[in-house]
Amino acid sequence: MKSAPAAVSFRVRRHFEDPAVRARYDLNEIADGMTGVIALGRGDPDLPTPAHIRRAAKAAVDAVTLDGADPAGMLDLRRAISVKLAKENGIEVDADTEVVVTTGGQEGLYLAVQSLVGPGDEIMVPDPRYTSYDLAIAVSGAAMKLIPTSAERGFELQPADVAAAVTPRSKALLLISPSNPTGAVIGAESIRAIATIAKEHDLMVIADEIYEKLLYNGAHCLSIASLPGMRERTLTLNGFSKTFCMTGWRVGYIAGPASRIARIRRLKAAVSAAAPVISQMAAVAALTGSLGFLREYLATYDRRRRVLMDGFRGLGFSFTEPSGAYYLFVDSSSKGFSGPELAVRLLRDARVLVYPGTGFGERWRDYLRLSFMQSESTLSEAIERIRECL
Amino acid sequence: MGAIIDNLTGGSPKLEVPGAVRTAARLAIDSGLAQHYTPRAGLDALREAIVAHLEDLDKAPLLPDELAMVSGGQTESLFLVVETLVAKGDLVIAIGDVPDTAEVAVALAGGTLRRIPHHSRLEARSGWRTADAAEPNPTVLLIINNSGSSGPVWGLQALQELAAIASAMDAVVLVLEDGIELTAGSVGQTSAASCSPLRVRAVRVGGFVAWGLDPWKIGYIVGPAQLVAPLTNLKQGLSICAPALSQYAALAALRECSEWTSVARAEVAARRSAAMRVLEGSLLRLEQVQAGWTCVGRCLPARDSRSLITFLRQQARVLVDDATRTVGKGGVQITLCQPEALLSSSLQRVRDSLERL
Repeated sequence: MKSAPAAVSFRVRRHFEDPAVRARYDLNEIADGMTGVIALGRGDPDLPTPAHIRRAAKAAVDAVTLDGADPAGMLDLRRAISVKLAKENGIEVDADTEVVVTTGGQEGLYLAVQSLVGPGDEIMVPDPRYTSYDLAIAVSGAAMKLIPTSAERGFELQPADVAAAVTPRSKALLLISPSNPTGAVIGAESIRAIATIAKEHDLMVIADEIYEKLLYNGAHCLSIASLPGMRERTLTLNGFSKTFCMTGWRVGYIAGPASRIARIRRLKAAVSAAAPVISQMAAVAALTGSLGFLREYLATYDRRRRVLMDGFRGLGFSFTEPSGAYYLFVDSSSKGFSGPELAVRLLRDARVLVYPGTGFGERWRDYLRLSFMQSESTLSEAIERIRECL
Repeated sequence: MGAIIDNLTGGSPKLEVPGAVRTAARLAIDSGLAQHYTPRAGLDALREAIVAHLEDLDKAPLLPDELAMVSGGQTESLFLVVETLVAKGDLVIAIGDVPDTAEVAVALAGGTLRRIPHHSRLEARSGWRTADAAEPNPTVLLIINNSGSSGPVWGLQALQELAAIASAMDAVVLVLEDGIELTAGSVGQTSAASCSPLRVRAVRVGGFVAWGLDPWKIGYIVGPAQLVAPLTNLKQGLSICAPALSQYAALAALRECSEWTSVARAEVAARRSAAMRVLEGSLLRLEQVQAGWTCVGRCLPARDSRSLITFLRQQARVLVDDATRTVGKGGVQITLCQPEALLSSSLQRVRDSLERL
């Protein structure tokens, strides 16, 4: 009888473990093992992918070929992206050389960061933040310089704070508006002021516009790349997950100056090659089809937002009203709890999954993030469960 | 408008997707399952199906400490493994037909890549560490392509010798096996799992080439849990999860279409025979292989591979890949990515053109 080979121990050279990301995923995994949990954690829309996109995807199931597997993305999709950016955002890009289709918005962020910064550089990031940014920055070897935002100012990024954060090592600035996790929208005047700072200090800007369409109370997003002198120093990121309820399809894009995009295309080819082709074909339908569904979807999100805000106000929590995205960033200390403590308690005792603020930066121990991707009645039930739990 | 070029490049056989897989995909779209994130390591049901598939392929159970995760295809799998297991100063040795994407991945990780031609894989054992690494006693990652895609296969004896080398270097071995379903069992082809000393230090990358799912961007990584589990952190940071639709399609492929691989093997064999037959006695001498879906050959009168590729594109309206690295000057690779009749027609034009060379 053969003896079994000796056990081998390995050196994993880079762990990429992030405690903030862990804070979110640990709770997800616990919730997965429970029944009857109301999930207000992930930003994963429950409303259906619009019918015309699903129809296109089903047709693509029969038509898909490797001919659409250019690592830069299908030309039809790049053209549709180019048209969309010109029409909706005031950004002119060449579909041939200035667009890359990515495997979701997250990969877009990863590639953009790797293409812009490296060891010795600093990249400025508003805080609180979607902490999956941290991994992309850590892999690049650059240092992340946090720019604090505050509840007192509605978590809106302040140009003066950006200017104060600039150092000789500053190479790039990451903007996300509306913000995840706060829902804050950076106003047009602030965007113009930040553009001036970027030009003065020769900064590249990564503009994450994934939530651009999810706006309430007349809020408006201005694309920084549309401003004079910014096109050549901005990488605009977007995707189909949030607006079109397509998180599982994993398709997004980066648009920017040709010289930067050329490098990103090379990276994309090595990281994952082409984005899934059926998702790309569905994305073409998303961009070329009607946005008529969005009015109804936004009205639904807005009603839910109000249900959640009214409920948490009634429970005695304080928070800043979000102008965009689909999250409520709640101050748990206003009821005497830390975020991690309350998140665990709500999951365990109320079967309501929310994320602790520490999932969005170590400073935010006194906060919770709740997504409102559930029906109004489910949100009301969640609030009742929380009321009983407290 | 230019003439249509028949593209015989890319390395994928472009096989048909089974009807049951397409049906499952449409159902996943209709039901809404395709629109949501999945767990970052993939759907539990798919991971279980992958394990069952491998146990069937390997004719052996998964080892207790082995783990499977779902990825976005072979390129992403290779990237995840390299970025996690390689750091600055480390040495990566790619033996034989390993994709070019390894070069960028290794460079991003800060490692040094050394390529070893397949035919000399077992001859160049000494001096790697000191000659090629940026630092003494580096961590070493070996990469091999064990899919059998290009015909020559490693075979059990060669895998055992590789395991001995890897053990001496305390190296992990990244084994690319996407499509091995099309070659396993023929001409001595066997998975890395069949070689116990290799298996304990191997991270295996597989996929769904045999079910025609290359454009769907879906694959998997299997290996010791202490190596595979950390990959999920980078996967989450890179793209959160593999496309949900593709995961449901892959699940249907494994659950409902296990017999499909026989159909696909027969299709690839027919194409291979056709290629050999059409080019027999021509100026492009294909290496005779009994497995795989790419063929390499040399055209000795050609000045170099690049000029030969240009000539064939212009004269035969056929695009082929450069195989200088594999077979030397004048070497080209042909991917058997068309049905037999179309492929024969394309290669007949290649043959006719070469007679005018």
